[in-house]
Amino acid sequence: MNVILTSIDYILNWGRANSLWPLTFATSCCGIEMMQTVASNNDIARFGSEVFRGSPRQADLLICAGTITHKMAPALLRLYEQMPEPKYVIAMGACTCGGGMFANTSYSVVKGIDKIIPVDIYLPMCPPKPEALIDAIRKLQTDIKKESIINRKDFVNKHCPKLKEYKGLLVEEDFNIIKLGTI
Amino acid sequence: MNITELKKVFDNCDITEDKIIIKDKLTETLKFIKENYEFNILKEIVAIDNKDKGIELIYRLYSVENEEEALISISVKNEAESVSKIFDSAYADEKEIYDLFGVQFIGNDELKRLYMPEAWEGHPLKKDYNEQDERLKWNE
Repeated sequence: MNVILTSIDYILNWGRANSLWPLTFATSCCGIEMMQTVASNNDIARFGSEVFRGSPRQADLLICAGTITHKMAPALLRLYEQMPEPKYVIAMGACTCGGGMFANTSYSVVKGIDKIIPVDIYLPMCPPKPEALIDAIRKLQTDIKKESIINRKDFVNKHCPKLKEYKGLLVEEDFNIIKLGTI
Repeated sequence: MNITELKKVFDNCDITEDKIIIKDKLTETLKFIKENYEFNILKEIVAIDNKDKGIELIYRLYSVENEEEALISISVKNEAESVSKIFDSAYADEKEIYDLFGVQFIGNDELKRLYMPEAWEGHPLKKDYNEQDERLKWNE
């Protein structure tokens, strides 16, 4: 049984790791670096993730590039939940890793997107260079090649401790996802 | 712009080197200045929280013909007249100031939250803004 599973895992992971399609999602200056990474100087296509998708339903990878505010947070959660499994998240930049320079004094910034969605790779710096993003994608690829189908769900469940609290807030009032979608 | 002429029309004016400080009749003053001195553009509205003295609103007008700027300042306490009927661009600025400072603009029918979520409590740029919102405990 184990032998069969491992060989299935090997083939699946090979496919997944080498065709990571990212979602076009950029909220501030990190987005510029992300665009730079796609352009010909750095050329993310060498690693199989040049196909940026406009719709979350076709994407495997969410590169969260930029500050997430309380107003944007429901939209981010909605995008993440629209993505089909298997899905991976790179938290790009200091703001998404833990609030960055807004962590202590800002009233409006979510202090780390790992409070809302599970994060696979943390990529600090403000903003990271294109080389750093490529490195993050390479690291994610090596992680994907190691994982097993069975373990993936456990990872997702473990890595989002405060999600329930946040979702309670969304249902309660006008922090609401649906209202934001109708604008 | 001729200052003495303006003083004749509005006797409450206090004119310094860089701005005109008025106490009331905001819409009338702006309308008068716009019609008589060709100040056609409202560049922006600035709000400053001066604690006990209330919130100071500064209207920055610009004249394309004469290449001049005029600053009109007024101090209010939570309520002000809307100038959106005179300058269309005031709609967005007033909405923003309502969101961050809590100033109610009478006559602007689009007043609602712009940057913050609709269920947000308080107005964050006021000096006495209290950050303790129990619903946001997940964010600490």
